[in-house]
Amino acid sequence: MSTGPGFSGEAPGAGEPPPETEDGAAAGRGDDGTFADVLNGFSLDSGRRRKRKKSKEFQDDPAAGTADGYSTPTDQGDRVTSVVSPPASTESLVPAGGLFDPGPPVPEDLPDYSPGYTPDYSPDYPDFDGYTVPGDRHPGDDIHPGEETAIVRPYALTGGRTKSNYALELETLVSTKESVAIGAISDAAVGQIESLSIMEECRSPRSVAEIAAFLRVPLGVARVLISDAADAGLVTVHKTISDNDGAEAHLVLMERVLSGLRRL
Amino acid sequence: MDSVGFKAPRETAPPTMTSAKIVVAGGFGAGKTTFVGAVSEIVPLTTEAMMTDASTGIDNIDNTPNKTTTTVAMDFGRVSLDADLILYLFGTPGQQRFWFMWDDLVRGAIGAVVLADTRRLADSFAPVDFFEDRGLPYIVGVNTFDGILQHDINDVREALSIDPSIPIIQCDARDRESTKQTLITLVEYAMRQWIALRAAKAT
Repeated sequence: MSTGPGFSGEAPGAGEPPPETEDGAAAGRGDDGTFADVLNGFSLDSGRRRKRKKSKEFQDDPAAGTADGYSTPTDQGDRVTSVVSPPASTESLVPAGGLFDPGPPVPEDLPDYSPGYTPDYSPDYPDFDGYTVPGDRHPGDDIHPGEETAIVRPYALTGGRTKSNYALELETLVSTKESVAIGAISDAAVGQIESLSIMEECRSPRSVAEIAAFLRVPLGVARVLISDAADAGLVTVHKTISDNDGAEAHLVLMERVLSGLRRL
Repeated sequence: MDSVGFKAPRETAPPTMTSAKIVVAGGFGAGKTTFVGAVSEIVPLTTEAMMTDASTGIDNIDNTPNKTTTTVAMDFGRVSLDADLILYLFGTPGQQRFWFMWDDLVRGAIGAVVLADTRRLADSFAPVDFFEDRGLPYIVGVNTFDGILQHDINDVREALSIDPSIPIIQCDARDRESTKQTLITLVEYAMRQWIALRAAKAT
């Protein structure tokens, strides 16, 4: 954690404010795509390449070439063109144009723009390279999606907990409560996204084994997640006939299974 | 909340659902998954359990010291028998050493079908022993690949030293009717066993 907070704390702080200086221009033109380009242009990771479908009419613009220190003219031309196409914004770009020196604009401009414009760029947020570790993914690395998740140990999903509060056998049925309040759902979304998946899956009753298969988690993890969802009042855990239930219950169950099988 | 058709959510008891479980065991390639798939209404799913410390001293992990967990996969299928009754069929994990998984499997199960491949009868010893030990009712289904019974049922019984009271039947794991009949035989046998057991306890 020694470098983590520094990096993640700095990256957005360093990356966001400069876009905000461009914000006025970008928003003034009402061009969201351009704004996203600006955001991407301020990435800290200079080695990164992005495919742009934008027009490249200003590709050879010498001003753009000097605006930042990128070594690949094409890339950098792309980014800057979209920003500089209106002449007015060029002025604001070049001072901030150090791209790696985003300090100055922070104090003055942040208060003016930060609240209003957050939603504008949030859809593009995942693209913002301040959050990706450079060199984490290479085009050549063909990681199977299933294997990729294995980086996280399975019980990390449960915060290391391995016990469930319910008797959850493999075949124990779980179904979503019909009367779950909307508030509870959003609470669950905040708490655990898996609870929502379980609720979705259990609209018709599903067994613990099925939920584990659906969530692609080991059984032990699924048990804890189901237990959480049940504790939150989102799902009902149906009773499973166990050895403690006495002979009658067992016999009745077996009889029902038998007649059911015969009907098949 | 002023829409005309809106009804406030009521706290209604959800319909009670019941589930039951039958274990399908057998050696590698005995046809467990085929058996489950023949009668299941869903494509057999796979669920995994993790082996962590459970394997200490059992699995040789000297060669892979960084591997701290192993996943054990098992296939299972579902048969809806009634509006409120679902039967699950669980195939045992292929590796028979994963006993911790078997405990989960047999707990509360109605019984087990041990699928025997007569070409590899020895594979059936471990499941038979396990179910005997746990007192779980089981029957032996001799999987007749290509419909040909290679050995006499009595020879199989003798080879596996199965008690005469335990049904050994011929079955074709690919055939729905045949697997259904196998399951019916198992449940009938499990009920007889259960009643006999209770009677013995009562006296």
